[in-house]
Amino acid sequence: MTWNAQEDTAGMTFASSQGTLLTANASANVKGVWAQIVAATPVDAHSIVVIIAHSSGDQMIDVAIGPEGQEGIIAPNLMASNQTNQSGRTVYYLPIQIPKGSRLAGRNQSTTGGAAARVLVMLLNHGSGASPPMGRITDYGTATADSGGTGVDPGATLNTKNSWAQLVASTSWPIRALVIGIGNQNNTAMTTATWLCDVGIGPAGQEHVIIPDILLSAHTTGDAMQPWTLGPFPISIPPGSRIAARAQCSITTADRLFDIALYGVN
Amino acid sequence: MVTASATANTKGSWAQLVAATPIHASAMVVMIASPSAAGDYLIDIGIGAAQFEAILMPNILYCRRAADVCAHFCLPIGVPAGARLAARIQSTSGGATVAAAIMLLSHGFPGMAHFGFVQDYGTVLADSGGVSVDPGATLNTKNTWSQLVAATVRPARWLMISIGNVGNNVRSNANWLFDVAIGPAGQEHPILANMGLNAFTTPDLVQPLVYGPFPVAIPSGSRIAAHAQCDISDATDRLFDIAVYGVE
Repeated sequence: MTWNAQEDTAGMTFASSQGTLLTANASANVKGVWAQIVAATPVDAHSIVVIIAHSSGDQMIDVAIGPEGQEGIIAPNLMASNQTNQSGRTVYYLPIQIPKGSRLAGRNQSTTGGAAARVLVMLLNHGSGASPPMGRITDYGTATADSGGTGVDPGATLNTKNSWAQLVASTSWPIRALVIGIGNQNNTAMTTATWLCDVGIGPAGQEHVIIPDILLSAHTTGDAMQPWTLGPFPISIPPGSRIAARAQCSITTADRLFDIALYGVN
Repeated sequence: MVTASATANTKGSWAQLVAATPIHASAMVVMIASPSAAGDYLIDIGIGAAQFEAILMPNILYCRRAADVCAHFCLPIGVPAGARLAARIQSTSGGATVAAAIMLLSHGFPGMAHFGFVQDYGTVLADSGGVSVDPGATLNTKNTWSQLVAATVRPARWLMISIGNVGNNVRSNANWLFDVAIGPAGQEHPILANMGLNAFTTPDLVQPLVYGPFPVAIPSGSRIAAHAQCDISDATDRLFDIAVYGVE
């Protein structure tokens, strides 16, 4: 057994112990300009971890690969929900391959024009066991118009699963790993509550739960839904699949609403 | 709900999570939230009949302060169908409670072996925390290494990292970059570098609470250590706790 330790991280701003600054466009919900995270990645990566630090507004971040002016998006619309009173970190684990020497860049949009995010990208070359690396991430359920996801309403009946909210009618690619983003619909005054959320596949009325009873919570002090991300879940979803989500909640006020988005990797 | 012993930093009784798991699982996600008191927590997940629980996941470090934090701890460990699972906790706040749920994953990544043993390193039962990491008084400069374990008792194929609040209830705004390394003192080689942490005055908590699990290959007998840099130098608020969990 070897130490197998060729991991590296890109985007550090050592002078402030933070990541690379991504500033959203001054117009709300419009992507800002690309900012370089690293000119050349130092290792071949089998998977990446995108670490997003932010606070105000719902934010949505693209990570891209390629020369300046020719960026190709590899991780689209990563949802980073409003954390005005929590100021945590949104961490996406994405099993996608990036060759050594690649230029990485990021850009941001937000419900708050000009909002800032700080981004780090961990480059892991260990691999997920013997799992083959994958190369494409497709987002489902993201809503660029409000820098959020698809709204899920647990309904007015306490602690009872409500109807399904469709995230995508037909997936465009097969999915081998599924990553979930959770948002709080830019709500900065949440009520303390807990949720159990299901993700299902199948036609309307015939949804089959593939990830059941994901525990989520919010609190009046932090005003944020948590956790902000889940996965990757190893999964096999064929192209053309409908994906939906539903939930139950311990409250019935409007604060019961939350956003969800999915990132399919293949 | 799982309740800590009324005595601080002492494990409470086992609480059953499920009498019989419905499927064979190749990984588990332990989902923890705390509607209860601020505190640092160590959580055991056990398997086996009542009064005969064997610890499957030892001393998962979890913290909450002014705001509840729902944290998910994912460990690629196999659990057979029909197993009884239970949990017990200890906390710096005697009698504190957490809500615990477990997601059982049977999918598995193709070709990935199943694992069966989780070993904690750096956990400190006496204060329900981890090993303290001090970024030092020099701003934004990595400080000396803090040893989590002198020699790992088993090889690790996956490594999960938990972050703790050092019993601190009043945090300053701060940002950290921290490394986890293996190797003898003075020859540490970072295997996971420049992971970001931050604290904020409202939730009074260092976040995120968990990183990983990361695929690694750490032989038994390895020394594991961590160090960090920080953008504040306050002697109390710059500190954080860390514990790691190796999966074989």
